[in-house]
Amino acid sequence: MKTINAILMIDPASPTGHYYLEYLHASGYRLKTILVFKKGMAHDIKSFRKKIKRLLSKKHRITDKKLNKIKKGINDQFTINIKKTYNYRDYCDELVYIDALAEGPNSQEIIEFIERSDTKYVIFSGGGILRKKILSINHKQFIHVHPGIVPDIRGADCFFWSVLEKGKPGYSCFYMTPEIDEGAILLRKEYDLPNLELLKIMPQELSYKAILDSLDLHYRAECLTSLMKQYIGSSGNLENLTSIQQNPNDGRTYFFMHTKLIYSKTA
Amino acid sequence: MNSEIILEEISDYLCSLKEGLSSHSTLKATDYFDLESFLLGFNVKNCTHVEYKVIDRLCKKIDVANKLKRNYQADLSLPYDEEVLNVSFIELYVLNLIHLTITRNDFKFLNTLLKVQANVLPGFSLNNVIDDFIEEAVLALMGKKSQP
Repeated sequence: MKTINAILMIDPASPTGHYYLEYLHASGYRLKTILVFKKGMAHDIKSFRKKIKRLLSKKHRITDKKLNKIKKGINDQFTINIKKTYNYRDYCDELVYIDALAEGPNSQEIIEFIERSDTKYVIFSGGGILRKKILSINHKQFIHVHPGIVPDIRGADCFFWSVLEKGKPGYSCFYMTPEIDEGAILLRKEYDLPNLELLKIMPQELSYKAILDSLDLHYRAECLTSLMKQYIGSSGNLENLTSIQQNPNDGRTYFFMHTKLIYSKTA
Repeated sequence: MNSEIILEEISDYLCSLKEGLSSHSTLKATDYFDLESFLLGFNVKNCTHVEYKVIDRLCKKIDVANKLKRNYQADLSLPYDEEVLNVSFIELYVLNLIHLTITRNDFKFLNTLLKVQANVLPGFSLNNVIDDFIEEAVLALMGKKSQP
């Protein structure tokens, strides 16, 4: 196992980080640091109540069952198996838990931890929007994987916009800046859509959710792993990382796709 | 219906709508964008790249902000003041958007039109004619009429 000299920020409520860990692990990588940020007791209670409510509702139980069936159908198309729970210690040299409270990933404690760290690169796996204050920490670079080929496809629901506009999903790794999706590009990659007959027979809103909760995350994780394979040196450092500056005036920013468009054009 | 006939009908409707409109801007500042004046001067059949970018940028005001203001800062980032755009000018913008959606096969613009159709703009509801034009745009791009 080679240790990547980077911090991976994980929100335990978001599955993205788990996909990153599993894909990197399958390629022989572990992280120097995993930073898990919890959103505080109030958030935990809210999320616990939501879970209980779902468990007690028959309608939700049936929905969850169908959703899991679609996700399984998607996951079966990929060789890498995503587990339900993760012991983060198995995937890193250093594990740090920070109670981030309402500020989420922008909390002062997280900023101070990253400032103190001698690691230059931070991989962000979601769980909020990183603000200027954290993104402007000196000598640090935040890496994000976006579901669209930038600058052509920036903004929201970009997995679906990519499929609609380009016929296939595309992903970009870039350095994050306060301007959404405008950072310098590290890697761009397109993928072929798997043949998922299951999506065509299941309720559309469930297929939409399953795509975002599973298919999209496989591609994001694969794209990140490709970046690491390309640039990780023998010491575990990201070496000779080259980036292409974006012109903010190029390309297009898309917004959340109307359900009529999602269901009729990308199904 | 044939797209060319629809486009002609939209152009005619645009002309008749414009005839009854004039900009009543009383602002003297030059560092703002007057949407009314822009829409009155805009000819969708000769849309320049810069004008197209403006129309594209304005989609965000519907998709995200759910408001169209009369005046914006020069870079269109923020409203210049709180004055909302008059209903007739909203119709003018929507008609131009339908025209561009059909001529350029533009799904982003169609997406914005579907949101207008879903009444995201407070105090604005589509009249039947414009609603039908949107349905024609849906038909042209999606190959079938949208379902309620």
